[in-house]
Amino acid sequence: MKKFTILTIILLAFIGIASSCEKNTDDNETGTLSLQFQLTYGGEPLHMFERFNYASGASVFIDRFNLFISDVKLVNSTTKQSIKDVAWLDFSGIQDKTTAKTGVRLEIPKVPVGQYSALEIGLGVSPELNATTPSNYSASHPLANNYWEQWNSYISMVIEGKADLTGGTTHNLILTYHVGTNDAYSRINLEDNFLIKSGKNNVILLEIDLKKILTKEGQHLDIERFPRDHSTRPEVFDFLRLNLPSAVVLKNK
Amino acid sequence: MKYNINILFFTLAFLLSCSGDELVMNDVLKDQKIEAAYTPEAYQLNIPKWLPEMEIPADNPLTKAGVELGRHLFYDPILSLDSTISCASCHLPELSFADPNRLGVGIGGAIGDRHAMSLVNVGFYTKGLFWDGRVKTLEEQALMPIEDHREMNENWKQVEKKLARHPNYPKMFREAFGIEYPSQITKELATKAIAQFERTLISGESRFDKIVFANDLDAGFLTDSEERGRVLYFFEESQVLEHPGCSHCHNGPLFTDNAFRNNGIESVNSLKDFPDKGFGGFTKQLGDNGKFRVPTLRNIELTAPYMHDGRFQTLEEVLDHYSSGGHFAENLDANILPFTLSARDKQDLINFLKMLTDTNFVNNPDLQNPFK
Repeated sequence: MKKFTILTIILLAFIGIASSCEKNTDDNETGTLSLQFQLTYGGEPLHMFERFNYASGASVFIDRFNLFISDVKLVNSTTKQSIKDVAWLDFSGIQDKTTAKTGVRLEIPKVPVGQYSALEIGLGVSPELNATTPSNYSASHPLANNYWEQWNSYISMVIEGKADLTGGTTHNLILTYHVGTNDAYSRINLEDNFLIKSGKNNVILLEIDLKKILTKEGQHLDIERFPRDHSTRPEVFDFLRLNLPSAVVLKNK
Repeated sequence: MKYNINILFFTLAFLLSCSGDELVMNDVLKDQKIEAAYTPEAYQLNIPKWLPEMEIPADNPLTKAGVELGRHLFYDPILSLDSTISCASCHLPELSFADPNRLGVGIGGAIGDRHAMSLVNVGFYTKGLFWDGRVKTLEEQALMPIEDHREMNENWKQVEKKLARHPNYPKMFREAFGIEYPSQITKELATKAIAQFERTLISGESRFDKIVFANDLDAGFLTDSEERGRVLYFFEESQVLEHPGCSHCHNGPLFTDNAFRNNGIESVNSLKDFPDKGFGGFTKQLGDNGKFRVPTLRNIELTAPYMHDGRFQTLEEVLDHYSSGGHFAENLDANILPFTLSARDKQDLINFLKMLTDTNFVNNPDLQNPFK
């Protein structure tokens, strides 16, 4: 009888251990992280075709804003967890106030649960990925498009729009700024406490302030003199690429 | 007596006419088990390494029998109401599966709203099909022309019956999808087969591919004119930034970015006034009105007329339009800007574009009409 009891206890213990092991599946160790990017101008949500007053006095709207982000990591004291290799943020479908408030949402599944202290984002295409070409990817991959042969590089940021230099309503000056090459790549480190919970959709709100890309410390991009640039003029290219990192911030921080 | 004979005659005629229908119906109603083996063999796509990987839906893997069935359906006018129009009526293989007519012509000469676009490399389109991007997959796309009144004007129930009664198709559906009875032929299976065939319409062996991507020395070199055209196509002058800018939209190995843009061909007072709203008709966003799919430029030499409404007959007309800067609208693509285009520039660009012609593709026997 005693032998039977011991065997029963061992069996029950084994079942208990086995069932507890089953709970530790991947799903329970990971959660979904949504990076929600809101495009703003001076902190106010901005949608395509929405007029804003530019620093020069011009009235401007943009009709295309795209940004590659790459090599996205969550950081804590012991590790840097890679969570996304590359993504193309496309705001061209954001055409009204409602969607402007929501912005563009990038869902990243299977992010390991835990407490993180920072989010690292590569703005643009990392040099490693920028050495590849669209031929290397399947048709729907973000790197299957948006490549500029002349640079041997992806176009990491696209700002296109139209302006009325007089501040009026005739927006017939076309603005085109395409930023690319390895020099356009930068990394930002956004510090905060990020808790990724198991099985949950964890959301981090981020803001991309176009005003901070086009203006800095009392200076602004001279859109009248340079309505177009494809990373060829240093005074435009450097201005835009160097401003970009400070334009991407955690929302409500 | 004469009265009785007439009654007898009409009764006989009625019965005979009924028996004709019954025979047809009985063929279906009998629904005899199809005598054929189902041993699906995977179809290996021959994709040059410089083209992207094609994404195949998990529920419609390509098989040899499926592709062959799709090829038959693509070329068979049985899909149309009066058996006069097939997919290939508007997508001619010798024209890179495009249409020489300005607008699509359906049964009885009905005229559609848009030009039938080339299907070359259509399996790589990932951002929506048709000129306006209104459907996501080739399977969904193939459903639509059959019931469009200005295309095939048939209904799928009738097509399913016609296919089930057909002497060959039940066996082909069995070999492709493993059905057991003709009554199991459905529009979903028919469009899966057509989609399988369409995914084999792969072009990547033009002279440009051979020289630039394959480094095939036997293909020779670019002529001076082609090289000048290539530079005009891909590069911009660094100071004035004036250039045709073709590769802003027609880029990558597919020579399209798969996006939807307003290329300035329509003169409108406001975004509401586009006669064909294109992408905006699908997204219901005002800013998308007048935007259409950026088509591939592969085999562009063969696919005239050009644009969603086939308004331009020649590549010269197309280049004249772009060099003019197009018609302004709030959503005019920012890359459409006027540029200087000399007669030499034009010829060089066209010579470069002709390098994208792939005769292996248009002559590929596996893609031709199986009924010829």
